[in-house]
Amino acid sequence: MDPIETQDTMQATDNKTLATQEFHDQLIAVLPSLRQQAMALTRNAHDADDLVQTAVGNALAAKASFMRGTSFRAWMGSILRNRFLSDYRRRRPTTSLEDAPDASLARSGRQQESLAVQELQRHLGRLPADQRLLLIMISVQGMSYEEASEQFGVPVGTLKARVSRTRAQLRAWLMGEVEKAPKEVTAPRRRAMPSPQMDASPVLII
Amino acid sequence: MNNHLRACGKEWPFLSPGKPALRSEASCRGGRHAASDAAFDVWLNHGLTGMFAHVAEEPIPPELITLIETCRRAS
Repeated sequence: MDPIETQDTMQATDNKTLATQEFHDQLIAVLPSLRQQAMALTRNAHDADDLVQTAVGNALAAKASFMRGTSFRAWMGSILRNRFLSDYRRRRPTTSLEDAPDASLARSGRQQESLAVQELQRHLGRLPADQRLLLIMISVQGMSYEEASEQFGVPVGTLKARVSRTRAQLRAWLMGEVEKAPKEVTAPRRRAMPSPQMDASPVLII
Repeated sequence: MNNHLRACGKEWPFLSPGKPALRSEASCRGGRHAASDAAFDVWLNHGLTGMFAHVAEEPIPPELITLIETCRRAS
């Protein structure tokens, strides 16, 4: 074999090994964020752990489809969200607040005793899961709208409007204004990025 | 902002026992509306963080790490 060709082959092998190592490292690093997102979707610790495990299994099986240079967190979040949409939401269309143990939702000392926070918990449960997820991604995880856009496959401006409406909705509920809960309607899915887990599940219009 | 809200008599959280809901910025005027919105956003972010932050701090289930490491060794 040509020495130059051999060197190229070795370099390619090294790059592949490095990419594989990076993939697994990134996967471990993103797990806490994924668990938060899973909790936002399921509002149940057990279901959240199951969802993350399923998403990780899917990601490992589809690691070749991850495009380097794109957001790994958004890619994983996209897989997680689609697993939820295709599996969990069908199994349990709405998770009542009673299904979400207090300890799994609020452990913040005085806050836990706050009536306002309890009310917030209750109203969060009224939101569609996708809307709740987006709010947690932006408000708790500090995710940029650009990254969220990559995960949801929705333009940044649309996401900003959705978050704004979600906050306004929560505020209205908290203040006792009578408004209907946001509707979940089906619409053709817009794909954020390639994922083998995506199917024709309905997507929320927030 | 806080001083402004105190002036309005509307601080978040605004709920209290026996007082399930208060009117919002209706009694406030002009720029107070925006300040009230901002105050609510701050309160909301704080509340949500209190509810969800601990989830990211919990230890990762060992079986999940095992799954990933097994796949890493196999690849």
